[in-house]
Amino acid sequence: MREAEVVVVGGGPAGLTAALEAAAAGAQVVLIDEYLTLGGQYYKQVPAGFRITSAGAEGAEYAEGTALIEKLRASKIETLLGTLVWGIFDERTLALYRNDATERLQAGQLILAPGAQEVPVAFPGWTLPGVMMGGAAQALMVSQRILPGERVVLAGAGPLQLKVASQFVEAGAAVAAVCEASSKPPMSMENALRAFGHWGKMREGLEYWLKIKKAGVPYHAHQVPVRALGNEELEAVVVAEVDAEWKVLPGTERTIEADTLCLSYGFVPATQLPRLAGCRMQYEAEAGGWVTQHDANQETSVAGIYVAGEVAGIGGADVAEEEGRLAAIAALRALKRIPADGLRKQEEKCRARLAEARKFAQLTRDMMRLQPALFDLMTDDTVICRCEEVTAQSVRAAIAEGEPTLRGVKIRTRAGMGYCQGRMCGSLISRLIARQTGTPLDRIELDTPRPPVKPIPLSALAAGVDK
Amino acid sequence: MKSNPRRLTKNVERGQTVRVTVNGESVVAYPGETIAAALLAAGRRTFRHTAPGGHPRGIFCGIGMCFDCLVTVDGMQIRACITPVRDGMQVSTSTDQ
Repeated sequence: MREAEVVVVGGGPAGLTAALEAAAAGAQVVLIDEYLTLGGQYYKQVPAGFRITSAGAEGAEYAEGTALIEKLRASKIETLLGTLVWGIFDERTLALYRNDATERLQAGQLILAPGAQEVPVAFPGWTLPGVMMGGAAQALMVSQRILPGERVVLAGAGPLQLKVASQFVEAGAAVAAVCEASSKPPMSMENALRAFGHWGKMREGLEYWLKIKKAGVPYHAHQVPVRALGNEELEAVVVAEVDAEWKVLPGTERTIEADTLCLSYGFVPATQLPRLAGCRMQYEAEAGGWVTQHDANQETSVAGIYVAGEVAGIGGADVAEEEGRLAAIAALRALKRIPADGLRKQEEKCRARLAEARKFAQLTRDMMRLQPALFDLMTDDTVICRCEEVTAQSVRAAIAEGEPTLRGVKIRTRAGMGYCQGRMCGSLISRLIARQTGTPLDRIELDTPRPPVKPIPLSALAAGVDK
Repeated sequence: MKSNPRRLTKNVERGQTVRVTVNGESVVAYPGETIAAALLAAGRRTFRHTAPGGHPRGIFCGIGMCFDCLVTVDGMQIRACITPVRDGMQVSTSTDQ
């Protein structure tokens, strides 16, 4: 079985800085990513077969991401792309699926930076082709350079959908509406004042705002989607006004013709891998729900396993990058690659930047805070488990019949047994349990994760391991 | 309303096309593109119909987490949103079961 001193899982902002920091101190580093390009969701890259004509014509993130990736390429870091870490076994032994085969990798120290997923919000018709997450639209426009649709409605909470809307405008789509659930849109005076001092972010936000205003995009506060209409694919979106608690106001529905609906209601840490490794979780509503517990050195409850970035709590790329560096420094000390107080100056600077980045992250979190009523949009016949097509009615019945746990609902209805392994329905079922039984969300335990963390073909194991 | 998504051309070059068929029909595809991108560019947003209910599905999360975008290649169901096309790839969007 092969070994590596430091293994970093995830090639987004946190993974990139962690790998670079560890390699700079001379550690042997392996960086693993499931995708074929690095950068994660934040630094989206075009496919290897594409060529960007003028780097300067791309955004600031392109430059930042490319710089990090180029540094990585110039280093001794071994990068395994298109590689799925599907299991973590005793003492940091990783099971990898790559090139149609299974390999094992023994990590001296393990840094997990697998990122986040977007918050699923269910309502009638949400499974129609054309309804997608904001991140899906961005992956298509920024990485693949494909326009997802021609007439778009965006619905979400917080400032990120302004960016997506602006990207749609840039790509030539007609943006029919941007619907913000809260009454205090990102561009409100209150939020602008709180952002005061974070000049880069303010300028960025303003750029998106001006772009969509210039294109005449209608922006509506206190509105949510209540229904997606269409025979085979999305044809129209019904939106409604909501009160301060996001409860739908009767009689306010209106129908907007659209072929694309983008949902941007925030992020949930992708905690499957750290949970698989036995790391303890804690519930932080503001940080995306269940997050991986860690100390000030990013170390989890399992010795030698660290977390950095969104999986440790939703905080954005700047927070992720500093956490990545701190995790690497801690790993280097544990390996005795550097003395116990090695890189102390670097660490202090990191912590200072991290504190600053967390301040801004708090503002974004506040703007993305979700009200429970958002999850009352699910009607009885709304599909909750997309994979197994289990409706809210079935889930509600299972809860009422005495199964107020994710596992109980799963056993009774199959919800959570499909390919996505509960990634899309888990939080929705938790909301239904909370609503129906009054159990607070931090008391509704996650289901036990089991390997493989994503489906792999049997042939990958049948061929033998480490061949 | 008919949707006709398309490839963006600003500031990017794609190289020579590769041969990909979808349900036996040729579609334009470029090296490195995902199957999803090639399907969308060809005007297809429905990638499969669900096995029990026969309901249409396409891209949802777009980042390989929701497994809605499954298409069949070489007898296996794979995620169209993160799998790149290969020259000679034959994609099927009909359900096996």
